[in-house]
Amino acid sequence: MSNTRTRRRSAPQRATQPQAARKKLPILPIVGGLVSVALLIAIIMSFGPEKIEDEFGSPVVAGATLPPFDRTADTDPAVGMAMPTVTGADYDGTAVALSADGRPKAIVFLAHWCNVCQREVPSVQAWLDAGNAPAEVDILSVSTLVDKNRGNYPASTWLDEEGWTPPLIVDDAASTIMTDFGGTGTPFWVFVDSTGTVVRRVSGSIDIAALDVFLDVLATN
Amino acid sequence: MTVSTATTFFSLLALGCVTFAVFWLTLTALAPALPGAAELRERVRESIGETGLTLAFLVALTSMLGSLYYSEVANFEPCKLCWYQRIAMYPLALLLGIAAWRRDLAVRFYAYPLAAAGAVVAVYHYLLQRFPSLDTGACSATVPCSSPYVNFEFGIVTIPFMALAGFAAILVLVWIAATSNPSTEPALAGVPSHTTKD
Repeated sequence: MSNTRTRRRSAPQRATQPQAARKKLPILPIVGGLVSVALLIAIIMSFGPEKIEDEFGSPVVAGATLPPFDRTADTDPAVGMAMPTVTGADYDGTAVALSADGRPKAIVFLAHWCNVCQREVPSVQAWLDAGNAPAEVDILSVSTLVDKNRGNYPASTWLDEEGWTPPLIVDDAASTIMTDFGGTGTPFWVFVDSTGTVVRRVSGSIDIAALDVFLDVLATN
Repeated sequence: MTVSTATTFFSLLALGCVTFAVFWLTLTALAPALPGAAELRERVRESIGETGLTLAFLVALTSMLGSLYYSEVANFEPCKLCWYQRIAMYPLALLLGIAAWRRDLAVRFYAYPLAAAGAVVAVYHYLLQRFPSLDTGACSATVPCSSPYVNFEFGIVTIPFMALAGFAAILVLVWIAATSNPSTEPALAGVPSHTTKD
């Protein structure tokens, strides 16, 4: 409607302004065509290998839940508490457990869609590959907050491609392990001593030098 | 339509909007020095004319429906910064729709501030996603602003990028419409005449 009216009104102007004689571009058909092409491309790109629907585990978590981690607090109330125990499995179905088995542990919680985790995983793996981890400390991981509608899905493919070697437990749809460990953001590190007592929790990207220090303290204590 | 297909579609639309905005700004920058650029800019401006309002309305409407799709269908819970961008975009859909219907170019006085404010928030949000260390350095388990739901589609597109593309296209389209034929603007009672001209 507005096109027609505009054209009608500007006709006298064309007579007085030579540049107005230029042929107008058919804007609406061009826009409509581009939108149609975009839709067609999106539909064509959606044909591919079928997405893995639900990549959840069914871990069993027992013990007292740790309080939610607050990175702004001066002290962490979870320090000194016993960690929950977990029995679960990795993406291949291999059983993995988190329990007070007499060895100190560093447990890292990872979310496939988390861009910080995506940077954390290769740097930690490179550090592990270089043989820097103390033999006295177990390093374990939890794949959590899985959402098939979010990026970098499925987590199993991502971790495979990164060559992730620490034993892994797959969290359930309710992210029970993450919740029971008090995780509020990823990556989320929980350090426990040989008795299964929480020594420290860290949320966010961890400096590899700091990781070295934490693990050395765990190993020597 | 799956979320993945919708995301690809919205991403392509966003890239189209950004390309158009950059194209127009480049022509505007080059026009004083290059007659060819000035000629092309004038041709584009004449071709779009007042249809710019309708196109701006369609951009705002698509952005609004897209954000509702993500929150209500894909269940992506909007973060705080997403809400600020919604506050800017949703009224634009309404205002530009009415303005396009009434051919009221005075809408630019409302559209420019809303779109500019939304664009500023979108830029900040996008930077947070690119550089999460600007925020807490962690991906919140609940409603993250720093971690993208749409994970850099085509290496660049996230939801705030889509919003930024929409705001940029709206700014340019309203600008083109406003400079195409200011004489069609309805008289504003009690408003000095200089405020109705660019």
